[in-house]
Amino acid sequence: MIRFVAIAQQVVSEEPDDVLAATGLGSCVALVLVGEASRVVVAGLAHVLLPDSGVAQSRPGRDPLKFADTAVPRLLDSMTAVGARRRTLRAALVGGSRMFDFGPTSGRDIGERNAVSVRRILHEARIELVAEDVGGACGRTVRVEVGSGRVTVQRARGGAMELLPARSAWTTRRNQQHGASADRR
Amino acid sequence: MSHTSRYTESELDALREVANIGAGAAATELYRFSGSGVGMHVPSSRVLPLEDVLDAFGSPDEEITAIGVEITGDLQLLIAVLLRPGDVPLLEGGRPAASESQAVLEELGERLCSAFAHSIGDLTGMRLGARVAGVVVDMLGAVVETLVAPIAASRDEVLLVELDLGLETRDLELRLLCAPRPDSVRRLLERLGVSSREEDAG
Repeated sequence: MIRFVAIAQQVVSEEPDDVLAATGLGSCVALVLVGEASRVVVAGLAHVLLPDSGVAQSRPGRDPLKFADTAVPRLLDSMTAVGARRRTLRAALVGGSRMFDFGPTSGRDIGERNAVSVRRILHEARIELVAEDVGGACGRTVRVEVGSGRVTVQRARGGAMELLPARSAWTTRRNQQHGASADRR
Repeated sequence: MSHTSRYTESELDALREVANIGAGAAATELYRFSGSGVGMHVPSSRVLPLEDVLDAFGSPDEEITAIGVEITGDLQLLIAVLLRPGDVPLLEGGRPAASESQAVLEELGERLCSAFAHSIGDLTGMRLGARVAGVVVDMLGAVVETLVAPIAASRDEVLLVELDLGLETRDLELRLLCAPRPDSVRRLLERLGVSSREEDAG
């Protein structure tokens, strides 16, 4: 089942047939986390709109999934809550483009600041960012195949590009078919 | 479909009316630009929860041509002028070379949005200008979220105003998607004398 992840939403799945997708990313970034639970692959996708919740802190009740600094810890918590082991988590980052040259009062460089904020929080959380397709002036769509952990990115004029191969740097009992423990660390 | 909005119906009506005046000015300018008769629909002003924005104006992975324009001065808003890729030659009734398409689109965006801004400025006594911030051929969703991000920091819903213009003698439609900052909306409503319930930092 394809599960589209809207702006300021996030989805975590351990269903191998699920595909998580964020369509038409512009200045937003999609953070993908893939990890292992005891017997399954767990994947999560957060569709982040803005870099920092500080601008909204004076107004309670704002959606924490909208901001990188609050959405990333929430996604980490959701992954571990369904059993993903933290040391197995790998991250990929997509989006953060600069479609237009808007001025400083109109959101200049929001895309770049989104990416910087997510990278910083991942670094602080000691989650390895293994792949990214970020920046430039193009829109992107990202898809995550939960069963394999494969991540692909598509641009408006171009085919799908593989950002993370299936079972890239890790294996699971459920999905591994050969070459057992070589990738386990 | 009952989303609770921070804007009252009378406020949204007032915004639609202002947008209608701006759309009329943009339509007149489009007539001058294209030499073709221009039709227009009544503008819509919609308050959308963030999670609904991406799908609200079409399929987010649909490819479109978008001219990004920034309205500056006493009000701040972002506008995307949207048209189908490949429709640029229809604008002038001819076929500009590919290298000229970018310049044609930039001129179109500047002229339509300046006319839109100046008509609202004349109505409200505000000083407004328009600046083209780029032209892209890309995914509709990417354009929409790039417009929405700067106005969504303090709110989980966004107000978007849509103007639809079409050339009567050619199969060409233009959409102007306007994303005003919340503090600019408040300022405009106050200037129009429509009740304002709260301040907003934008």
